[in-house]
Amino acid sequence: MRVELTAAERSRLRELSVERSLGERSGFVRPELRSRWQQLQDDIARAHGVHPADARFRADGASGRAWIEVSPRSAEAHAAAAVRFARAVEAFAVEDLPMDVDAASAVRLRAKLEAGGPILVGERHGVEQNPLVA
Amino acid sequence: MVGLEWSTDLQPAVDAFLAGGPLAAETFTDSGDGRITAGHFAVLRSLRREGRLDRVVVFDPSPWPGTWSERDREMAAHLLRETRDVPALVMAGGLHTRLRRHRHGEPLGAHVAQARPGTVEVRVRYPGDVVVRAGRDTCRLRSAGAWLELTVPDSRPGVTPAG
Repeated sequence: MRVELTAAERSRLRELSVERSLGERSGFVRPELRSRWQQLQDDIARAHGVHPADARFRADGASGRAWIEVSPRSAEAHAAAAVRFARAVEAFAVEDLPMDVDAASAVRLRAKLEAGGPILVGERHGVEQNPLVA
Repeated sequence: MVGLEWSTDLQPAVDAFLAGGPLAAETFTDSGDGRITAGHFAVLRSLRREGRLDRVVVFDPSPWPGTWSERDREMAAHLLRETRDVPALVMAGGLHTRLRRHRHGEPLGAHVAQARPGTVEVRVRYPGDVVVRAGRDTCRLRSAGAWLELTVPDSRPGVTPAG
């Protein structure tokens, strides 16, 4: 099945793809940009009622057209992914990690918490997350 | 309270899980960018069982608005509305948690800091970024100018719902 993209969707993809291609030429695509690209494609797929995992984005440079090729994963594949994930949750070993906090940070953190916070922790999306940390 | 940069569509499934229900894993199976991992659920459940976690608020709007700054403004508004004066630990991408405008636009952190003067930014650093002087299993929190810097111990590939 093929789903044509709207002009607005093509425009948003084009805008971000320019940023991506600049990064690719320099040999480094910022993780944030990868994440935004993925999220944009996921949102567009969902807007057309397509599960993001089933969507393959295609474009024709000559005509400027862009579309989604829909290749549905089987219900079995969805179910298998869900089972794998649920098992991984059960298998994850939660443990406390030692913290080494310098005096200046401790004072500052305490003052901010007494003022009500919040603490905003900025992470890098991707495989390097360590959920034990926060 | 914990805030996470997960889609607001997922709030009911997160609430049900924290209430002790089974994980509706199929709800999450299109997430593969690392924002959601098996470890997150294990840690949230553990915190809840220990009585250290009251609520989880997910705040990434669905669908996304048109621009980066609009998305961050919506995320901040949602977060502020849901947290009010409750102490909160909020995790999001490092560009969203900055407290000042940067080249991508006006980040979530700037909006939150304007409304909540007690806001503090912590930037996570990874073992590959620096020479880790403390033990490899130790987290280090250091002051780094206008923000705090948390160097985490070894990380490992996370298991995402998309597999």
